[in-house]
Amino acid sequence: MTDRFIDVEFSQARWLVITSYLLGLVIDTMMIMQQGSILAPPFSLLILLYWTAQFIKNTHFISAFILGLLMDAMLQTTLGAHSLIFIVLTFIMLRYRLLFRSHSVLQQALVIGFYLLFYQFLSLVMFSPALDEEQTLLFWLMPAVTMVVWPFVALILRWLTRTLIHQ
Amino acid sequence: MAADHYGQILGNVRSALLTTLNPIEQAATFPKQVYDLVTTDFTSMDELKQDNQKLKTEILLLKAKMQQYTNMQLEIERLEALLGTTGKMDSKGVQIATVEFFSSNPLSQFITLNKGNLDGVKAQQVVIDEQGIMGQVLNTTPTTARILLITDPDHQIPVRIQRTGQRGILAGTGHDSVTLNFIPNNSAVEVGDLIESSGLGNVFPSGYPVARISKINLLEAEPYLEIIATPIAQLREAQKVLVLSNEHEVTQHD
Repeated sequence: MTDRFIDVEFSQARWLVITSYLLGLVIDTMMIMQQGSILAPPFSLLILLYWTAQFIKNTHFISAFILGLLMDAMLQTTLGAHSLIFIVLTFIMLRYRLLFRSHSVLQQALVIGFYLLFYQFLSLVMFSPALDEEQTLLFWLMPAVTMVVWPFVALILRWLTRTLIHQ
Repeated sequence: MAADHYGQILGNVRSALLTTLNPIEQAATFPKQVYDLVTTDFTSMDELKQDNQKLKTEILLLKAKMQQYTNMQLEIERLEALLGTTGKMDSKGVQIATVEFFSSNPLSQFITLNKGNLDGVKAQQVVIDEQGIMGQVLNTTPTTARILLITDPDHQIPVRIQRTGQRGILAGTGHDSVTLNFIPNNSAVEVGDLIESSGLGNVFPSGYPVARISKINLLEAEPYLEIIATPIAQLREAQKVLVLSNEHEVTQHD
């Protein structure tokens, strides 16, 4: 293991994890009010993937299911559809999280970009969003935006874990 | 997923989830509320006076129109009695609500109102603004209601063209427009025609303006015209809206 993730137990950081999920949901909710929301990554999913890589003794499937359900209610999609997508992505992260932890933050960003590309593909298949030409371009640009956003999300969550839990 | 997609079995689960999301939505709209509050405080007194004067004039005009409306209602009742028809003239109860939250993403188009179960709002009630129909109540929580807008890709409303009386189905496109379906190629429709609700299906009341035709395409291989229309209601700008009651306050039968 490298020092890119901090060695703490899930039970020590439970409140931080829950608070970060709530914050992620608030940001996602703010984004759906914006015209350019299509370009914004789902922050709750990014935070879920971070914690999945951080706490290797937990599967995080229940968190993925609940967050997915809340996303379904938020976006008025079929209940369970986002849950399924979140669980599939969490499962892939579970399979490769030890390798993922060994990457630098920039390498992680690249990997997360591919995760979000898969997320977009599943969204397109399951929800058939009504996209015009410009929106289609933005839709497929979202994983690239995620690659830019990920280092900030990862560094902020690592700093919070170190400052609030690890001391 | 199947239970939610094909039936209403999970309606209560969705309402519970929406109730959970209420504080999150409020937190998400808080920065905008603060911005509005700050910018409103800087509105000058002169502007407020002008607005007040304008509103007073508008009320006067509306009162005058209301008198005409009452006369017309009586006239229709008299004519219906003469004709011996079983026509109905419904006067619907309304509730004023404020738009608290809105979604403008390609998956769904909805707004959230600050009235819910506790205020007597129920699913399928129709929501209008001062211009025309906005949509219908989809889900309710104790304090809020989610309204599916007519531009949502899953929304359809039975309508008729006001000028010709021809009936069709108006469907959302997921963007800021709607499409009018099932109008045959030989129909006499024109750009600018007003589309109003036909009342079929007993969800939307008859005669409310919905959209105005903005583009007509003749597709040679298809039996129907491709008609694009622009919603009349201010779906994105409206702040105060009216929720129409499902119960008929006044129902006239002969």
